[in-house]
Amino acid sequence: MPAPSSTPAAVRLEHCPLCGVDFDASGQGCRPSCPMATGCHVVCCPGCGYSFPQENTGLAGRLKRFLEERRRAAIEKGSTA
Amino acid sequence: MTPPSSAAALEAKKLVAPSRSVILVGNPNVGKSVLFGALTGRYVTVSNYPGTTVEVTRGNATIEGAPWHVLDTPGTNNLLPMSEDEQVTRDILQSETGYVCLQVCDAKNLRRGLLLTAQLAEAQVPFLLALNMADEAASRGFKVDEARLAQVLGIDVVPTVAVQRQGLATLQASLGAARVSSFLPRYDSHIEAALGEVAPLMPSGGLGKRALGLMALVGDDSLRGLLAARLQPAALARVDQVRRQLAARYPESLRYVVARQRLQAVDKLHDAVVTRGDRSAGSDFARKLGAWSTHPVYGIPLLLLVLFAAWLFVGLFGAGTAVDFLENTVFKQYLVPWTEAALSAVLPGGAVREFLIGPAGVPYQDHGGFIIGRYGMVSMGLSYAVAIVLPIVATFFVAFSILEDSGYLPRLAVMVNKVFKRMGLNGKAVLPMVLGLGCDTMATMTARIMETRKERVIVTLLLALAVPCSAQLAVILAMTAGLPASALLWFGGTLLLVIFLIGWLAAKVIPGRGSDFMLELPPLRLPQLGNVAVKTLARIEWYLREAMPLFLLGTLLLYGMDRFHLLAALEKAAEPVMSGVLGLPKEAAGAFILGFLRRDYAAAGLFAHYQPYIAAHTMTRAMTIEVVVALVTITLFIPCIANFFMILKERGWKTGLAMMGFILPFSVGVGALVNQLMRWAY
Ligand SMILES: Nc1nc2c(ncn2[C@@H]2O[C@H](COP(=O)(O)OP(=O)(O)O)[C@@H](O)[C@H]2O)c(=O)[nH]1
Ligand SMILES: [Mg+2]
Ligand SMILES: [Zn+2]
Ligand SMILES: [Zn+2]
Repeated sequence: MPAPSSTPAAVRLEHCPLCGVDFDASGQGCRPSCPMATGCHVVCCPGCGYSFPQENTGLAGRLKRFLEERRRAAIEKGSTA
Repeated sequence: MTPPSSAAALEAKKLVAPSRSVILVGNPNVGKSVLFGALTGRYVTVSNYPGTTVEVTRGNATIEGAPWHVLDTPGTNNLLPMSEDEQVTRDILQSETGYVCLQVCDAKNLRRGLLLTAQLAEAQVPFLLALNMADEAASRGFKVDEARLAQVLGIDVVPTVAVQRQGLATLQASLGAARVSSFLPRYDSHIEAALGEVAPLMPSGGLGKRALGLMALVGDDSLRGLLAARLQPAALARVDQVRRQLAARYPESLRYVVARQRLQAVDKLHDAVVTRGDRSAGSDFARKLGAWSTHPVYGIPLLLLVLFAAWLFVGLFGAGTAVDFLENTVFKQYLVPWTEAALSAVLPGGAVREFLIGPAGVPYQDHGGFIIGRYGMVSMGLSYAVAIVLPIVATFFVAFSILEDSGYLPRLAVMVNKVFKRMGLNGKAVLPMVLGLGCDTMATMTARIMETRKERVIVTLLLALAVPCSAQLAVILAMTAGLPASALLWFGGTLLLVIFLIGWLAAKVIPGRGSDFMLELPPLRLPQLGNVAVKTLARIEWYLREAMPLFLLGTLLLYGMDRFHLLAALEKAAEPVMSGVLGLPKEAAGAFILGFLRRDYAAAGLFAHYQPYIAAHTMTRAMTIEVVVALVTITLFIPCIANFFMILKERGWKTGLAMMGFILPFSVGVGALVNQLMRWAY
């Protein structure tokens, strides 16, 4: 097995789909007082304020990392060939 | 403790005097602070900028043998400030003099960086550009033609990887050669003429007169204090006059017009120097399409096309095919009988078994078992949540993610900007409103995107009041097959009317101001399957975590109320309103009560009630009216518990309760009105 994903810091990096800012979502979100769910996974972009579910946790996060791994592998293969 | 302002002034004086100073500026998160650390080493002072909580870091460095004073500023996207951070940076650049700037930008996000570059050039600040994160840009296939960029900008451009100190030496060597950039975006003739008149009146300082003049023209509030202090009253009045004459020429705000024209110039430069290894083909078409998509005339057919495609997918496929399959095949034919059989096998006979799964031989929809029965966890709780709501929410989220990933969403905001202006909002409000069609709770949170409190309150109110969430849409869409189009027109028309009327009224009644609307439009592109999947999955997970427990809780509550005859009592109490005012069957009261647990719940109950008639094409005129009245009232009725809590959390108790106090009678009133009108005119 290759190393499980990259560094923890990189795992928390989120990309805002609205304004394109990349930002660190650790310790962020509507979390502390969100009424309905424990550990709410919604983050809020510091650039434009847009809120969206965190894409780097849970199943979505796993899928994302899987896709990224594959893309990276493809690029590396392409550049050495 | 000495007063902060004089201390800061003293410090500034002391540090600036003997050495040259360099100010680091750039968008947030581009590596300014890392670069600052690499330049200065350990001895730095962090202080709050006078009168704010924004931190500014200062340090000293010896660069090429000369002493330099280095200043790190908060990230900024714009010299025309939209936030406190941005204002601090702008104020520093104006109040300091004799400095040079080091603009740090993210090489993989150069467009944003160049927007700031253009403004630094306009401000005639001597600077150089660090193309930081060169490593990430390269690994993502971006190639920047640095020589060409440096030539067009007329300044030094240095690729760097701050975290590895790559490019640092070149950067230090070039610092002394920082110079004013020759890259000046030209605006249209009216703006240039106005600028020609206003710029000479501007005070001198760190920022050049052309830049200050532009800021004054677009009506920057944060600049007003400076201008009032430094300009003669006559000059001030002249600036105001020119500004008003110029503003009258454009339907949009000047801020927006200027930003758009600047962006055009930046786009041209960007496209000339950046190549993207994989995705450059077809981008010409994408740019044309992007231009059409925000065009006031050509944009509309494109908008309708997008809406129609979304309707086909969510309405026909999600609410029709998928719901039908899950509900009638998966649940009715397999899941429910299986659970029933499994439980019958393990449970002893008698009362317990009857309590849990109901009497044998009676169809599960007709009896009162706990797990399986009429209000059962599986038959109602799970099948509502999974069979009716989930397919629609999921298809909606897929559609929304596609819009998001393709870059169409912000363009939608541009398209509807004018309409929303009348409601005291700007085009950005379309995002929470569209998202509200999926889940109002999630959308309420997204109302943060609006800049002023007034706008946030209006968006929250409209969401709570009149934007139907996905499950209601499910009913509506599923009923498009059975209801005559005219009935749907009544429903849709009523809601749109309410949205515009209440929005317009709220804009007048709620104190405060609206704001201008500025979104940087990302390039339009073909949505990536992987991205769409990740986004959709993230939303579905969020939805399930939030919605599923409430669905089960709702079922339990309903069951309990039914067992202890509370439901009947409530239905009886609500009957005068239900049948008298709204003309609905008394069972509808149950749906309304459930509606508070989740709005979708009420809709799903309604759906279950009328579906047999719709399927058999035996809906009468009276039933059609009932359905429309019920849909209108439920849509307008108090939002679900989750949304209610979210409103309290985001907007505060007072605002939240005031909204409820308004919504409750208002929804019943509108329902009654529609009932009367339809009886008379439908
Ligand atoms: N890969 C890479 N990461 C960088 C580079 N420069 C900075 N970073 C990272 O980018 C993030 C933001 O950096 P920071 O200096 O705080 O940005 P600032 O907001 O502009 O001050 C940090 O996690 C840095 O480690 C670079 O050249 N390459
Ligand atoms: Mg920083
Ligand atoms: Zn954003
Ligand atoms: Zn939350």
